[in-house]
Amino acid sequence: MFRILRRLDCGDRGILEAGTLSNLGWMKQRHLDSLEAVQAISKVSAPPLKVLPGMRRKAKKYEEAGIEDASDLLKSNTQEVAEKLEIDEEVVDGDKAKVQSYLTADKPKGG
Amino acid sequence: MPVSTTDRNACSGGIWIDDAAGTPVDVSGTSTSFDYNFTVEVGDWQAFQEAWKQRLACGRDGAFTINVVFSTAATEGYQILNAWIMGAAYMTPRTLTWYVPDKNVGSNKYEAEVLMPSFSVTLDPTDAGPIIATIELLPDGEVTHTIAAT
Repeated sequence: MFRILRRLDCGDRGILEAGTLSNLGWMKQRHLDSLEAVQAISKVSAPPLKVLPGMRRKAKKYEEAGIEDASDLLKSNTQEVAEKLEIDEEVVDGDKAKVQSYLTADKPKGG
Repeated sequence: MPVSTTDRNACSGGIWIDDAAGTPVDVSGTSTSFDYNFTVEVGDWQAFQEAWKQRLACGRDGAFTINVVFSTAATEGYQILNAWIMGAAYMTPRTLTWYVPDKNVGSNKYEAEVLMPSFSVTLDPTDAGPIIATIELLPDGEVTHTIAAT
């Protein structure tokens, strides 16, 4: 999981704004290295789920699906996790959105 | 501060401009230079008993100049830009894109919709060098800046 530090033009995949998170799974390692070298992205040290607001009790449940930190949750397959934990997919998507918002920085004023 | 180790030259720069069909064309191969300038509108005022001016900033603008060598190929810079200013669609903006220092992942990518206020050529019978066209371009609206990730 990477934090986008500078606005990225990803061609057909669109623009990634600074402050957002992305796993950039479609990118070759040498391209990730190039972007890290120019400080356009940085690896996220994902916090454990249990330290995020409102996630302490849910973290224990997610551990049953092998999800321990924010990065694990954001990279996970919603359908698979929902099936394993016998919960609605909307719940998983909602938790993903919440975790994403905790880790996303505000866009600097002035653009 | 220690001297930089990330400095680069412009030897491998990339400049793209749309042709009449709206397809981006790499005109780097016939371009001998490219200037890009950005300005900010700044106004100032000074109060009584105050030695220093106060300033306020407002709009931003850009101005770009590309020099291309004359070539006969229809898909190269001179013919594309000449057809634009001489054709019926001379008032229609086109997309200009340039990469600094080059067109690689991690490079700075600038893009703007531009209009062409001037296209200048000097033909000199004593000059053995190539014919050079100097094209001024002005942005219509925002100039975007991103880091190329493809």
